[in-house]
Amino acid sequence: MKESAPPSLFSFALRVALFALPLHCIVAALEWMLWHTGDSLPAAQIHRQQGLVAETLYGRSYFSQQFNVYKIAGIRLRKPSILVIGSSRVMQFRDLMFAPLQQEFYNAGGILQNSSDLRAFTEMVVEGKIPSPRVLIVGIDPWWIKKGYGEATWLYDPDEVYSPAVHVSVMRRILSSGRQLGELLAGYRLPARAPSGHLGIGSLARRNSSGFRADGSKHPPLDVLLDCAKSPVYVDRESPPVIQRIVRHSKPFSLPATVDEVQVERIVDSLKTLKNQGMEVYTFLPPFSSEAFAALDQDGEMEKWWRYYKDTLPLLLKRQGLEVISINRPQDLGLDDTYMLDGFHPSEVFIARVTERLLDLAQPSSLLKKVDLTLLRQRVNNAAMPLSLEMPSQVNK
Amino acid sequence: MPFNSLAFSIFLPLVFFLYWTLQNRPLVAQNCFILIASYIFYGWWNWRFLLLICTISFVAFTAGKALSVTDNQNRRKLLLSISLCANLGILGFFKYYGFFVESFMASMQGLGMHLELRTIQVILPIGLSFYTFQAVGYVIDVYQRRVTATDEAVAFFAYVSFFPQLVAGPIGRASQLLPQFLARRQFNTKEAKDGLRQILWGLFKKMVIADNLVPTVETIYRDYHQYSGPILLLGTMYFAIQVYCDFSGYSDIAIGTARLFGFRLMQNFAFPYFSRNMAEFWRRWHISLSTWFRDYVYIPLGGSRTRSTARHLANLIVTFTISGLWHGANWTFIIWGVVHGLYYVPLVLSGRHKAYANGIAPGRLLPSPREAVQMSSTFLLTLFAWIFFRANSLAHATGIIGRLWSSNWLEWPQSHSGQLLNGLPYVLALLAIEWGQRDKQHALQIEAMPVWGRWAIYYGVVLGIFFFSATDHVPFIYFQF
Repeated sequence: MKESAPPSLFSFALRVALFALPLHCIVAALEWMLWHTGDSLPAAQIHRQQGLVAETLYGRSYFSQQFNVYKIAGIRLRKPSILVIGSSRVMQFRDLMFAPLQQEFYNAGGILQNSSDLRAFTEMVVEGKIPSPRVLIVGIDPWWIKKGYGEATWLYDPDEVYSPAVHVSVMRRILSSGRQLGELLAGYRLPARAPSGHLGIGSLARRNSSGFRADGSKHPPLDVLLDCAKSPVYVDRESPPVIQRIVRHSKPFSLPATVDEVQVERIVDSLKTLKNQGMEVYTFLPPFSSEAFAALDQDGEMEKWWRYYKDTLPLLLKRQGLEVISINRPQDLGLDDTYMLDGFHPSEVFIARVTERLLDLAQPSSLLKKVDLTLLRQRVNNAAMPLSLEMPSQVNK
Repeated sequence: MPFNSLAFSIFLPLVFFLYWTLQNRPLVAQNCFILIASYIFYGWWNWRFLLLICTISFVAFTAGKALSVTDNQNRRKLLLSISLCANLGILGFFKYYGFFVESFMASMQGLGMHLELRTIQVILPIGLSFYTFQAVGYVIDVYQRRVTATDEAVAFFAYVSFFPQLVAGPIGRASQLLPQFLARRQFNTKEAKDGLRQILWGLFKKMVIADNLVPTVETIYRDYHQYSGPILLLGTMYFAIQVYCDFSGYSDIAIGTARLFGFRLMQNFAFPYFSRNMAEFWRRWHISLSTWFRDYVYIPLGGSRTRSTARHLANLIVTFTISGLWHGANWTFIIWGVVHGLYYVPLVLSGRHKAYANGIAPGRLLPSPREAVQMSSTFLLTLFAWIFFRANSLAHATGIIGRLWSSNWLEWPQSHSGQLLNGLPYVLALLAIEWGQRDKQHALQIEAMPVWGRWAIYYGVVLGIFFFSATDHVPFIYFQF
């Protein structure tokens, strides 16, 4: 006898389905738009798409940025020989600075927010959870050694796009705000090519051409580059500006600013462990704009911490046999503040100059000695503007 | 697999449709399916827990069968004792081992003796207290010949492990629930519809009201020394609503889910915060547990049919104390039980403990002033007891009570008063809705309304859950018991 459900069950199921249909349609439409714009794509898929089309930018909205997930997936997929790690302040290192080793380069800037992240990264390398590079460039921020700053790591956090609760939150935010809904709809209708000419994955990339290139480096928003092309003056574009944060002692310059020996030890131990794994480790203390640098120099309440970072830490790292590139401000390289994106983010031209310094430091046996220094110098000398090595296509139009 | 999880939202419709395709099959197929689904549901937390539920079901089933074939009173007593020792022993070990060992060591230390007894970390399997009581209740009922022992092993195992009520009740009674496993269920659209309504209301209470009150309650109870009396009272009121919405929400989902499968579970909450005295409160709060204790602890102790009032009161206080201990291995729960037992003393002495068996303000929009005062004072008494229930330790509870009395009642925090008041709209909305529906089984029992009105309300509730539910996953409070 063939089993079949009774008609009353079907009519009940039909009524329930009918009731749920409008709700499911709304959810499905939003999910489709988030998928279509690239905002809800998982990291592995983004890397696959970036691998197919080199000139692709990834910058998502609505979901949190989660550099940790995206960049770790990038390291795993690309298995780079030259790897940059640190906060957003090292995101400007680019593959073309390391020609002809472009394919061996990856910038994982953004994955480290504090000393605990550095330790977690080290553990992952030691345990073989991520491939170890031959050359590691580590950006260290001053607040990593400040008491009470960031004790937890985010490196093990899962990708939000797999969390139903986060999807609900995202949809709630979109549906509660006419502006966000409008932006999503507008983003959905935007062409896949971002205004910069790149293929855009994620609403931020599609709208503002702001996002990560396939090599992990950060492409600044197009409007910033266009402004700079018109008039190359220094503007602190952080919100709130870095100088204000220093003066008002707001995060990450909050008080009390005391050195945490535990965090210093954690950083040093991690770097030594990484070096003992057979990597060439270069530590980099990223610069501040001259006005931010001067404000930090003059602030009595932050003096001990700031001086320790600026003067003592490089010596400590050198004593451990680590290479250190400490460039505190543009003047150290004969540049000015127009080479800064804001109070604490250097431009890619600035970073290209840092790379020259890095190549000078490299031992003759180093992989870095294969990098074409002449080509790099040519690129720096022919830079389109202080903020960018290349001219955005929009300027020419 | 918690009810408010994605896994359950997939599990439930799948099991529902597969189950009803079996309705023309023999009863054993339906019960087998329920049993497998229930074990998957329970094993989702930890498959090792299945060994425990199987053991407890087996002991109760075997004891019931053995009891049914003998009239020898001594043998029956022995069988009952063995089965109770086995099942309550399992419960005692998992739930109270650490508590008793530590309490014993502490009391010995108080007497100047330093004992070093070995303690081990014992994980409390979820729902153990609930299904153990269900199994134990069956054996006692068979012993007392209130129910006939069943020969249907599958039906019995399914009865003990029935997934809607497995982890936090309502605790089923053999006389009411077991016969439902022994008869074939037919799909009933009316029951299924009302079941869905009850599930929806349960989810709303849990995810929107209870979970949104959690952060404020946690803040106030954690930093209680910073707050004055009114805030501590507000925090305790929030907790009272949180625990009610959390647990009655769970019960509504459980009862509604069971109705989808053609089962009727006992009502577990009947708008308890509208009670006019504490005795009425206990007739409306966690009904399945309070009636369990009434039938299997209070009445066997002698109940109210004793020679002296003192013995009657002692029976009540003992029952409430055990009920407190059932909630958890912590002195705070025991004191919570004792406080509730003491609340009964004036009621018994004045003969008011059986008053208010009727509905609340029947046929009236608002309660009379007298009823309003009675309800408010009963609510305040429950709040006092909830302090012990919520506190982490006795010192924590006494600290909060001390601060309640000693602090300035005119002081109101300047910094985040808005945040503290965020929960009030939820509380007021709940009380208004439940007051309007107080004569129903649940607040969303609106089948008499026209279809457009019903659908508008359903959409309102669904959108309420979508937009206002807390996104952090908060486990059901009673899962820990």
